[in-house]
Amino acid sequence: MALKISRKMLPWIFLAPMLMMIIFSWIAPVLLTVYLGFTDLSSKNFLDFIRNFFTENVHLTLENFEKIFFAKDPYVVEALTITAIYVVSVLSINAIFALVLSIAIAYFVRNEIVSMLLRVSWLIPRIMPGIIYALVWNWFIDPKYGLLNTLLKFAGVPEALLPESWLLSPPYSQILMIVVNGYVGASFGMIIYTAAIKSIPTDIINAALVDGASDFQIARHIIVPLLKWPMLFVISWQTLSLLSSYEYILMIWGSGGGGGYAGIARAAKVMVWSLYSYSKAFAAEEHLYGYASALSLILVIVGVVLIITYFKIFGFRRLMEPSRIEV
Amino acid sequence: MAYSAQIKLSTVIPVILLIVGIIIGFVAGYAMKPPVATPAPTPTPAVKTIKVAVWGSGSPVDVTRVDNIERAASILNRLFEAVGVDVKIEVEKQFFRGDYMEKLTAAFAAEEAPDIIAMKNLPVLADGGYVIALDDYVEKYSDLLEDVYPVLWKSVKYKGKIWALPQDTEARPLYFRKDVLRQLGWSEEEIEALPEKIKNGEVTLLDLIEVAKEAMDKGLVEWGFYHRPNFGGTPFVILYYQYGGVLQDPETGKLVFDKSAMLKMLQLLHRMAQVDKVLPPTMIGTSWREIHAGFVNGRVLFWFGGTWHWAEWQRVAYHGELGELPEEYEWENIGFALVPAPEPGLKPLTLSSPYLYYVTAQSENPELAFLLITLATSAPIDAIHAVDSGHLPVRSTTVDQPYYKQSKFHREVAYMLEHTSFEPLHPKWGAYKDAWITAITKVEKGELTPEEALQEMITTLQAELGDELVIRE
Repeated sequence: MALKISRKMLPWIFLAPMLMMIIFSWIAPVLLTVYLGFTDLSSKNFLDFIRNFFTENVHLTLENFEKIFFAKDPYVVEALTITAIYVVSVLSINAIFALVLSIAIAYFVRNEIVSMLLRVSWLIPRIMPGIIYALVWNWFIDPKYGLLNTLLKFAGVPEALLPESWLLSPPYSQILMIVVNGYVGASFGMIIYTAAIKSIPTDIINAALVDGASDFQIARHIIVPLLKWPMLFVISWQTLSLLSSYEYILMIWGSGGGGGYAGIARAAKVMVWSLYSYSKAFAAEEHLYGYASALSLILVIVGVVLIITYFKIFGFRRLMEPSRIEV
Repeated sequence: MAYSAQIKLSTVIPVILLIVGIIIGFVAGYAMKPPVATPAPTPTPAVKTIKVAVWGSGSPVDVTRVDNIERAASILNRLFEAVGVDVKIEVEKQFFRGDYMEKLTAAFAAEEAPDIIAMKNLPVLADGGYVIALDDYVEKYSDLLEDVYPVLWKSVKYKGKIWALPQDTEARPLYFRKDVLRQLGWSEEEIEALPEKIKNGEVTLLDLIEVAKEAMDKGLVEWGFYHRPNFGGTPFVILYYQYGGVLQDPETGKLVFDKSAMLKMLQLLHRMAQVDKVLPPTMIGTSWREIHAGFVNGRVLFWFGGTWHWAEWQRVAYHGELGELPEEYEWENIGFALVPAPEPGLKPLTLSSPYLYYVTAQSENPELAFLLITLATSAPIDAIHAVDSGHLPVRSTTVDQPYYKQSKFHREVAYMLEHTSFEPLHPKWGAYKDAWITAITKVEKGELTPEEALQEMITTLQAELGDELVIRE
């Protein structure tokens, strides 16, 4: 006796757990963010709000977006500028530097054990708990006891060029923000690229070598073009991650506790958009959930627009088409 | 042609049965009440148990914030037992290390909020309807509250009502290194007289800046002054008040920005960091460990700290050789005083930021909860929290408690409560603090002049606070 399940149904049964997870962990929060973004929800009216959740009694308003788009919030422009610097710079490290690093490790380093050791060493910050990573950086950059200034002096950097404080002196503080996030992020791209490079059939590379191609030409004309898919994935993934990431900035610039870290982050010019949203929702006394949701919604929209742009740049449709070459 | 997958029923049935079994198990588990044991015949009536939940937060030593409610309940239980009332209060405690506002809102949403909470954040709790006004109870039980320091009632009044009882408080003294002053040639009498002279206004901050410069010039210390690496109130709010600034309008409750006082405060910090160079220009953001280690090891002469730091230095190993400081070492080498008047003619001051006990709006027994917080702050129990956690008492009679009297430090700092001040109670105070610390950071670093920072601060605050800000010349 056999049970017949429609062939059309079968994929949905297998996909169901993942779809449920996407609905509850991504689509529902986004919908909730959209809804909250149009409210004035804060801890002051939270109890009224939950009593009237999704009813006409909830005060829907455009005020949050007016504050953002009509520069009524004095920090919006600055947060936007810093976020653009942050995302572009860290993404360059995560996507481009990681690519160079992967080609170096996976192609130019022929000894597999050395290659593996190098990969593992780059993964250390990712394995390390975030708070430890931030703490180590805090020690490293200490102007008096930290190693960073000593190393830079040893490398010949004049003392006059070194900042009094890596935490508080822009642009040094912004360089620190970029390096801290880029160093940990580069390992992600490196793993993806390295796996992709390792999967390139050696026949193609050997054929190029026989034809007299140099290592650089192989990297430039064979490896990089074959990494389009992983590059699209890494850039898209890292863009979305960076737009919403603030944890290392919070841990390093807010490590003193005791309040006012948002003010310190602003003085250091490291207040990225997501941290600003977080500070509005959870750090201020009044917990402006509505305004923070509106700020986050802008990030979601920017993220979606950027992903569509990446798809266009990388020719997503062509990438999805079946290969024209008979393998 | 319709495609179909062929799956053997014998494979599917066990899986279906398993899933159905799990669902039935869950439903049955929820639906079925636990078996009720047959009550044994007993001559005494069943004791009625009243559960009271209390939430609090702080550092590990502050756990007395919730433990003291249990102590108060124990007193009431013994009273009930003595008079034959068959009621027993059971306290359910939760203690958090940090802010628990999100957990509290979630508990309110689930209608499972605790009866009593210990936290600050009064304006939001009162405006949001999380807590109830206690005026009627305070009046009814006024005889139990006569010894609350009168000044502390300011910290629990908001929009004309009393919303909480003060749970603890503290003072923010200026600590100084006695050993460094000795090396500068000060006699023991001069050193011991310093707190009194500061209290009388005979010694000002300008005088101490000169002492700091001398100590730095002679190579006795690396820095003259350290202050907190973040806002935290001290010394910024204190200096602003000393220059005559007001932070909240008592009539309207709006936040006030006094341009003259704010400018003088910024000018003083600028002078200390950029002109006299007795304060590190990158003080903001310095690690706590470096701050404590710097002062405890005698590399810094003056430190704008808090009363709780006296206990912290005994428990955390900041000293290079001694590790945790013995209290005798502290008495020998460290002194404390009010924050001196910034210049002659002004007054010394300190700042308190009391922790508060509230009765929540979802408490089923608000009067009982009020009685518990009243008892939990009564002198004998107040003394336990004050001494164990390094805070100051909220009741004037606590200082006569034997447990409190044992602590020399507590006896000697108690007078500071007569010279204390408070931060404003306003939901947008956080935004004010953020703009203020930005200005301080830039001024101390020399990135902006005090005048430029003042202007930037005004622009920011006007945009952030709107009508809730009053600017005075």
